Amino acid sequence: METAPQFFRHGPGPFARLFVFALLSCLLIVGDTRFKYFPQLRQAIGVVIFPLQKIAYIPANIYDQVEEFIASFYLLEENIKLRLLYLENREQLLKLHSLEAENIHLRQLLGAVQRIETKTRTKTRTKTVLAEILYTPRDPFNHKITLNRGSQHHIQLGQAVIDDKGIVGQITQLYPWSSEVTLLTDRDHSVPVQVVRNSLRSVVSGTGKNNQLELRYLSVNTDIQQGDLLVTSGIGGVYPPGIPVATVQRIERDPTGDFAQIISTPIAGVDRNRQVLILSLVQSESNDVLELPAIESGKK
Amino acid sequence: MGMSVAFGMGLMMDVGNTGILGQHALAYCVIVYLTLIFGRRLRLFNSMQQAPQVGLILLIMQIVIVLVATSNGSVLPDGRYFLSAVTGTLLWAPGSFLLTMLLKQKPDPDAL
Repeated sequence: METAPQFFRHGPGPFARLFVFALLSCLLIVGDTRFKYFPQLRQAIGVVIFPLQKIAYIPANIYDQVEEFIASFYLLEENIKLRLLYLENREQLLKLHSLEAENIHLRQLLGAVQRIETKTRTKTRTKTVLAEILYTPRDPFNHKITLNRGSQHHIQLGQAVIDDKGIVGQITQLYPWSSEVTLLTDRDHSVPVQVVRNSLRSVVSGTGKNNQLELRYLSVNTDIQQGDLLVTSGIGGVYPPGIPVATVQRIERDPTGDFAQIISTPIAGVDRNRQVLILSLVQSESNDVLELPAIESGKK
Repeated sequence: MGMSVAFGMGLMMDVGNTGILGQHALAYCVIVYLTLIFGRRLRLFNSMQQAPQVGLILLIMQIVIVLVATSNGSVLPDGRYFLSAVTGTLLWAPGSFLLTMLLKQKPDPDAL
C-alpha cells in the first residue's frame, strides 16, 4: 500500500472511509456520554499528549516567568501586605479554636457527643496539596481546568479543590502527572449547600455559563434573600462542611411557576486563579469513626 | 493526510480539551473527507482565493463540533465561537505561503 503511487488509489474511497470513521466516532461519543465506558482510553491518551501539552505551553510559561520577574520588584510591598493579612487571619484562627472548644463543650452538655466532634476534628485536620493550574482548555462547552498534580502525587478522584475564598470544583479525571477539575460552573456539577442565615439545605448546580450558578427546585415562597451566603453543608461526604460556595445574586419569583429561579455567583475565583488547593477526601478519614445510618443513607 | 491520522489527532484534542471523546475526531474526519473531495479543485485557485473556501470547511468542522456538544445537552455557544473559522480564513494565505516557502513544493491543500 505504501509503495503504491498516490494516483492509484487503493482501498476504499473517501466516503467509505468517512463512514467507517464517523461510525467509530459516534460509537465513542455515545459510549463516552451515556455509559462512561472509556476512562482508561482517556487516561492512556492523556499520558501520550502530556509532553505535547508541555511543549505547547512553553511560550505561556516564558511569559509567566517574565511577568514574575517584573512582579518581583513589588515583593517587599506584597510581603508587608501578606504579613498584615496573616496577623488578621491568625486572630480569627485563635477565635476559631476557642469557639471549637466551646462548641464541643456545649455539645457534650447537650448529649450530642461523638459525631460532630469527630467531624470538626477531621475538618481542621484536612490535609491540602497546593497545585498549579496547568491550562484551561479552550472548549466553550465544558468548564474544566487541568492541574499539575496527578495520581503520582497521591491525588484521588473526587477530591475538592478550593482557593483562598471558597470552592472551585472537584477532581473528576486523573492522569499520572495531571488531573482534571470540573468547575462549579460546569453544567453537570452540583454541590450540596446550606444557607448561612437560616441553614436551609439545597443543592447548587452549574449552568454552563461563566460565573452563574443555580439553585434548582426551591419553591416560590422559600425563605431566601439576595446576598445570602451559601456554604457547603458537608452532606454527601465530598466537600468538608462550612466552605463558602456562592452568594445569591438574583431571585425571580414567578407566581405561575412551581419553583423560584435563583441565580447565584461563585465566591471563589473560578476562572481567575493560578494556584489552588486540593483538599483530602473527607469520608476516607471519618468513615471508620462514623456509624450513623442516617448519614449513610443520605450518602447512597 | 489520512483519515486515520485525523481521527487520532481528534481523539488527542478531545482528551486535551476535556471534551466528549470522538467529538473532534468526527469533525476532523469530516474536514479530511471534504479536502479529499475538493482538494484538487482548490489547487486551481491561488491562496487568496482559497481562503474563503477553507474558511467554509473550517466552519463546517465547527458546526459538527457544536452539533455533537448540543446533542449532549450543552447550550449553544455565542457567536464569538465561530470567529475562529474567520481567523483560520485570514491566516490561510500567510500560512500556505509559509508552508510553500518551507517545503519548496506545491501548496499542500491538506495542511489545515
